[in-house]
Amino acid sequence: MAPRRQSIAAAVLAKGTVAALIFANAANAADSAARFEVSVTLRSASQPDPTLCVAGGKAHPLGITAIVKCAPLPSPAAQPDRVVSSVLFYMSRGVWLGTVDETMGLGTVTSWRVVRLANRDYLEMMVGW
Amino acid sequence: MKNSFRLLAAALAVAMTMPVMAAQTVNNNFTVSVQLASLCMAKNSGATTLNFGTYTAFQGTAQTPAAPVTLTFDCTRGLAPVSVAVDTTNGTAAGVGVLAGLQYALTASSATTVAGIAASTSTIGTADAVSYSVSGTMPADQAGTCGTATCSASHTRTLIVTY
Repeated sequence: MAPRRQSIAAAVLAKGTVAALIFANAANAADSAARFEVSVTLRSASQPDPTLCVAGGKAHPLGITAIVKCAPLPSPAAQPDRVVSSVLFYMSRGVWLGTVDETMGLGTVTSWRVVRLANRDYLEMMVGW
Repeated sequence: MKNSFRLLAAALAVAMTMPVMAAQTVNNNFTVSVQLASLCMAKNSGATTLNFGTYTAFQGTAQTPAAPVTLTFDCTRGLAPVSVAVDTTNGTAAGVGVLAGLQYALTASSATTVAGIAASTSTIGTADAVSYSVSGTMPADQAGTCGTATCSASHTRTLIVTY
């Protein structure tokens, strides 16, 4: 609230009839406030969204064909009803997190284990090809 | 009746003998004074919402609102605001806040002023319209705080203009 303006005075004489004095007095700093809302909707990634992607298996001459159906939005590298010969996918609680890699060939699962962590379990598979 | 005519005739005779005189004016000046207390007044307070939309937890990109909000002040003509800040009730004066466990930062543009119309003998004039555009960003990779699949949250922030 410190004074920030200097006083000035001006006298105006209008045709000799009316003299008007206009003073600009020292003014103190003041505030004016405008309120507004800030809003957001948080979607928790840990909650499965059944509309994202569904993966399934289907017999194929060269092995197993994975079918990934995504609706309404495809996962980053997949398309709705897309059929690929082999896939590398990573899912967590039904939510598609990984990407499809069509360049992988067939392999053999040599071992697997379930790793239990404090907040989630995951399946680790060793594949040889 | 005859006396009345005589009196009127005498009056006319006197009037006709008076010299013709020109109209005169005399001035008596006086001072008109006023003291103006300059002011800025919020015009659309409480009427706007800065909506960050939907933030998916741990998303890889920062979240920005679809559109900024514009806050307008009517100010005394020629009175230029010198600084802006944000309230410290729901965040910091620099504009940082937390909503649904998500940190955000507000940014205010520099002032845009539309000059008002000066008063005249035929109009009272209009104020200078000083407006600020406020937007913000939510950094990426935030967990947020939400016990269900989705949570919506909002709170009030205040843009404080010092003039």
